[in-house]
Amino acid sequence: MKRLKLAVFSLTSCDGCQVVLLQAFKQLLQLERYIEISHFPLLKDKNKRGPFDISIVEGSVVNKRDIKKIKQIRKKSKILIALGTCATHGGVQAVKNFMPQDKVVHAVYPPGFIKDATEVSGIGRHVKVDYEIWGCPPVAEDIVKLLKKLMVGQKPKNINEEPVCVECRALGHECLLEKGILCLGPITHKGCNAICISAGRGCYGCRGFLNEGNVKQLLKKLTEMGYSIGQIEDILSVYMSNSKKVKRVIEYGENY
Amino acid sequence: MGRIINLDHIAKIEGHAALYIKVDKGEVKDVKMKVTEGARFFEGIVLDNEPESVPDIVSRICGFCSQIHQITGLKAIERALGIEVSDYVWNLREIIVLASVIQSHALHLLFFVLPDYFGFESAIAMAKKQPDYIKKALEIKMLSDNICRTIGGRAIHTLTPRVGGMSRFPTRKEAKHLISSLEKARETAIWMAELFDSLNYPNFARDRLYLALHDGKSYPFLRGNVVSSEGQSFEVHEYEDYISEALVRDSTAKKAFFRQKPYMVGALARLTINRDKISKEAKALLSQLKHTIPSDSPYMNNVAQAVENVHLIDKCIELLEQVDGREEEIKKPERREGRGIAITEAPRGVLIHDYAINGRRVERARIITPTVQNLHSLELDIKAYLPEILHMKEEKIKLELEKMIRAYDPCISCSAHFLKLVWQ
Repeated sequence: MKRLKLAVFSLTSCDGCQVVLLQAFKQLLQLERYIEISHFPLLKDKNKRGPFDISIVEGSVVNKRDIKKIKQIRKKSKILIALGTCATHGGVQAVKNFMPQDKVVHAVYPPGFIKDATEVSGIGRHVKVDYEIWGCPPVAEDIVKLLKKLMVGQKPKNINEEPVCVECRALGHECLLEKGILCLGPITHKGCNAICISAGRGCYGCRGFLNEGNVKQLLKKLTEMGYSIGQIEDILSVYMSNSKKVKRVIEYGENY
Repeated sequence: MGRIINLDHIAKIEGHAALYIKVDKGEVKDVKMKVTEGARFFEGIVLDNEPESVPDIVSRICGFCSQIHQITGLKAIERALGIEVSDYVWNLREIIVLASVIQSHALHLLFFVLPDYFGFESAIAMAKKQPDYIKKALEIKMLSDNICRTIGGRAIHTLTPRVGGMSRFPTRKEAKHLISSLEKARETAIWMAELFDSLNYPNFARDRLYLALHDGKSYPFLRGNVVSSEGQSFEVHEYEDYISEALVRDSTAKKAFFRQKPYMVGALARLTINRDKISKEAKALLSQLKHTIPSDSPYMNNVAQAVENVHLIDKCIELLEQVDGREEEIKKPERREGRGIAITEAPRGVLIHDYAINGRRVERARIITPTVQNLHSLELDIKAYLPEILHMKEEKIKLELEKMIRAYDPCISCSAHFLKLVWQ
């Protein structure tokens, strides 16, 4: 059997998704008979130029160079996987899109210093993405599972189109919203096994906005609980600023 | 004939960086390390946020050292809001930080440095021929993941450290379990330190200034004043009088100076300044090594990281022994405005977070990362070392430069990724 050529690319990010790949280093080595890691600059000196059977891309698009890079990667990849919330949704840095640009940029650099910055987005805005692995950080097992399926030619469907609440209830946790604690579980993709709630805190949406999520209902609940629209916007904007539904909440506030 | 050496993507470091070198008639005219990572504007995106959300946002500055960014952010915000958490909470936060330093050192030494010295292209290639090395080092990495998971709720971007306390407290049983795995890992950490001591490092040294936290009684990561290897010191709130930053053209990272002088931070700086405060086992180990620390060789940063890991394992055990299973309430802020500065030791050295809060909102933020502080010193080392290797073949020059860059363990995501050679 011909080994599949795997590439790992990084756009603009914290590189945490690649650290997660290192967590799965042993499992990746065990797949060596079927998958050849041919491009992975964090780990390798000699990186092939492609084409590749599977490309994993982490990081978000923040400038024209990233746009050019992701288009080149798409051209030379049969299967493209967006790994982590930066690549799927834009990540924490996407909040910049909704702030006065001068204020954000000039907090760090003088006027005119950064010339090629664009809107911050996931890679799906610029190219076709075949699979998304959610999470900030993503879960190592999700990556290995997907690779194993692709290895044998399966085309898996996404099974995580459900809210965190599904996993939270299965674990038997008491609902934090019922206890008056702000939690984004109802509008966030599951797959983390309700990790925040297990750690004693509300979900802050790091796996990105669930399309079926009812923002309006959650907003009503949170305002009844006494949270101000400003507080709700703050937490929604960290990971969900690129979702159209959430964007409307941020823009129109109480009038949503 | 003049030539330009342009290493425009340096592999096996954290992030995207390039190196630009100009040589004319055998003389090195210019050395510039450029950070090509896209700008993420962290000091801008935290503005107008509620201070409570800052630690979770700044954690995303770096996936290799998320824990120290989060906890430094916490410390500064708590200071600004007048919150004082208990020593018990600080012990738990310190365990997370120390475990993350062990992890960061282990990843750097194993995945980035070791293949260079064993003549492998990558740790993947090395794993095939020398599986035992990779297996042992992965043990250390997994241990650290477990500590962060147990105490912090998750291995990267930990969850439990919150403004005002911790959202979950470990049980005595959990702590005991971690202690027994740390006891087992000590031998592996000593083996690793002996391994890195046995490597043949390039024979290069240059007089340099080191900066690290110092409190006179411990090997501090979260407290103390900043002290230089020449004996100057300053308190946390005075940092702006001592540390300045300058922008670098075509680079998203800035460059830092200590009173106009370049300096080096990190494991070697810490061990130079606080070596009498490491654990008994680590001290005994250090005295038996063929390499000596303090040293003016940047390569000794590799040895220092490996020695630190032995100390850190002992220190984690000491702190975990104090875990008694108690739980404490999250403390509420006393005020909604003020300024908070925190200086800590990240895996790669001194880290500064500074926030001003006004009317429930972050009004101003400043973050100075270790790599920004090391860039100038690294350029000077490359400038001084280049004439010694210019006669070598292109591939060899590249490898030598990369060895030097990797010894610094640069973290480019933090400073705003690495090397291709173009001869002109």
